[in-house]
Amino acid sequence: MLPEYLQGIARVAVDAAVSASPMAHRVRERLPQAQWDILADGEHLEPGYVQEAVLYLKQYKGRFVRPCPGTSHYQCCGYQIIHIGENCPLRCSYCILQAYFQDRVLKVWANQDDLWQELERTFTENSRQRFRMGTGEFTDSLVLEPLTGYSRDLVGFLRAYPQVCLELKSKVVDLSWMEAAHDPTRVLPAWSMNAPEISAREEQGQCATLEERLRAARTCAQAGFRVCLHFDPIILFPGWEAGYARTIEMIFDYLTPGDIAYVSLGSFRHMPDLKRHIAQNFPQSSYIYGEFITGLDGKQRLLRPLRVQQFRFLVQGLRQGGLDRQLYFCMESNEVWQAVLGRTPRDFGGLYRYLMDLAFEGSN
Amino acid sequence: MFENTWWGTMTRDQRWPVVRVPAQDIDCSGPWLLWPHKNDAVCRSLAHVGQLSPVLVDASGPRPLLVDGAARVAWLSEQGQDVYGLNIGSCSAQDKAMLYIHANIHRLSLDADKVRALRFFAQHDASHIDAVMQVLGLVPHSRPAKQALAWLALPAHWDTYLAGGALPLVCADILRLWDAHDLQAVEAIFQTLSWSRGLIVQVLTWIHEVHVRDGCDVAQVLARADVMDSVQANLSPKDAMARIAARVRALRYPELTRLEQRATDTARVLAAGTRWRMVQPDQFESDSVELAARVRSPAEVQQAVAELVRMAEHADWAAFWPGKEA
Repeated sequence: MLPEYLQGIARVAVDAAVSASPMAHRVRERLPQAQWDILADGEHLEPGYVQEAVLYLKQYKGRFVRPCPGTSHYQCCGYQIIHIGENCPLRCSYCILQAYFQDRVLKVWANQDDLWQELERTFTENSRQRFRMGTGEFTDSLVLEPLTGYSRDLVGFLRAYPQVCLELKSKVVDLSWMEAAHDPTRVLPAWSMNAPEISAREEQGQCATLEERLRAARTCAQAGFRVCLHFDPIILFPGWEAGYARTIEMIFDYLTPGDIAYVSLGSFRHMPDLKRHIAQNFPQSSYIYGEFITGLDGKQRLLRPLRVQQFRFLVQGLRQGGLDRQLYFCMESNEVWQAVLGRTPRDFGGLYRYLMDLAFEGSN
Repeated sequence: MFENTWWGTMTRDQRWPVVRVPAQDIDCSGPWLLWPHKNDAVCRSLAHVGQLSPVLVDASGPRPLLVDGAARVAWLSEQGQDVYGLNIGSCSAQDKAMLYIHANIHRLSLDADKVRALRFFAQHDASHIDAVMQVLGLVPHSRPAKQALAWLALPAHWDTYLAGGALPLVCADILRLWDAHDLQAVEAIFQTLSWSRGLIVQVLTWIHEVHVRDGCDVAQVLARADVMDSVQANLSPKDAMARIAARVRALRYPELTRLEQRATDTARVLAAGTRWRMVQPDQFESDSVELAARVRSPAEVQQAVAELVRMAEHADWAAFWPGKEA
């Protein structure tokens, strides 16, 4: 039984080159009622489709592996993206994808053989290098899993490459990929965390509740996986202290510090154009009218003292629960690192290396 | 007359008869005369060489109705002369308006003119709006087209603010979101003050964002910023607008304003009596402070350095680094 948010897909468009692919067969089997359109080579999906109505199985011709698009002046964690598709059927008001892509059609790269080849080439050419990779940058890692099984395939493929640690970042609960993972130290299931008010108001479209996410995280931890939590975006709203305190309390109701590989903290920041999209699509979302300034990378960021105030509050709560080493900031300046954590990435050899070590810490 | 032709080929093959009528007999009150501006250049031309091109009239009734050519008819009427016109015959007010727009398309440049035309059609037959927009050069669903349509949601008397340059069309993006009470509250700030386009957009944006953020109506936002005090104070218009903008901005960005004020005060203390100027360059996103001095000789360089050394010993520097406080 598909989740409700996938049942609305009335049409599947598929590039002819991948119409006989295992991915296409799987989707067809799981969406038998959907209209099935094959696009000839060079033919494009006509514009104007609403995202929920169409799933596009595409022959992707670009690079599947790419660095996370960090910006200058701020500390990037340096993780590698495995690009498996674009867009998301969930409706989070703050989602950058609204402004990032030209349309909101759900796209899945169905030429998985090309992906496997590129991954194999990457790992073979860099056989001594460790990789911390994830799929949750341009889509939710698990939101289409009931339809595509993509993460399960990927987890299965990566079994042959122990130098890779895969992070699956999501706001839904789908643990079907677990069966494909032989070594739980090489997969990091990850869930977004936020204040309950933000989760309820701003994460629309059948996201799992915070409790459901944490319950799933506990299931993973009990199976030997370590989980990641991402407080991103942290949002300033009236009553934010009580809200975030409640979430931190919930985390430790479900997980111990040892269950957690790392926790990221990122304040709401955005390309200038996103504000217009949010105002238009989510007119009740008033947090966009906080005190945002233009950051050193050209993105809008909450005024630094306000960010620092929120970060200090969260860090204090997380430290009280026993987390410290695992805390890091997503795209923050050394000034903020120093002011909140009393250290900068340079103190521990750089954020990229530090998180790599944390990711592989559970290795045998 | 033009029934099946909205608005493709209605006039292409028309051979309208020329009529000659006394200018004073023509009824120039039709609402389809959308932009009847007095035109001195037309008057001078008529005085010099007479009427060179015909006006458009509907002469099917007892009194000819002017469809296009108000400036020419007005001047010729003053002179007691006849007017040459093409008799387009009987047609609807919308058809007349469309002919008027086509006849004047060469001088269509102002947003206010486009809005006036759209408002006419919105009031008479909104089903033709898309066709009219295309003739007006507004691409459907483009930003200017959306703004023009949004403007129509405002009370009709607001068109005078657009026509008078008190408000640019782009303000419709914000104003369309306000109810009648909010619109009425804000009118005072541009009824008496002539804002630059950029500043009024900025001020309205800040007002709107505080209004949404704090869940209060626009009148309350204006009251909190003491806007009416500034409007009514005995200030020059420039000072009044600067004060309104500063107060609304402070309401929109209270913490940033506080930091800026403190930085300004600190810089004033530190650099008092020196040639140095100090600014925080990036809205407190970094710990940087920029210092600048203008010198014209090696001796002045020495003096500037000495001033800087004295400044460096001052205790107030810490106020520049808000990220390290608290």
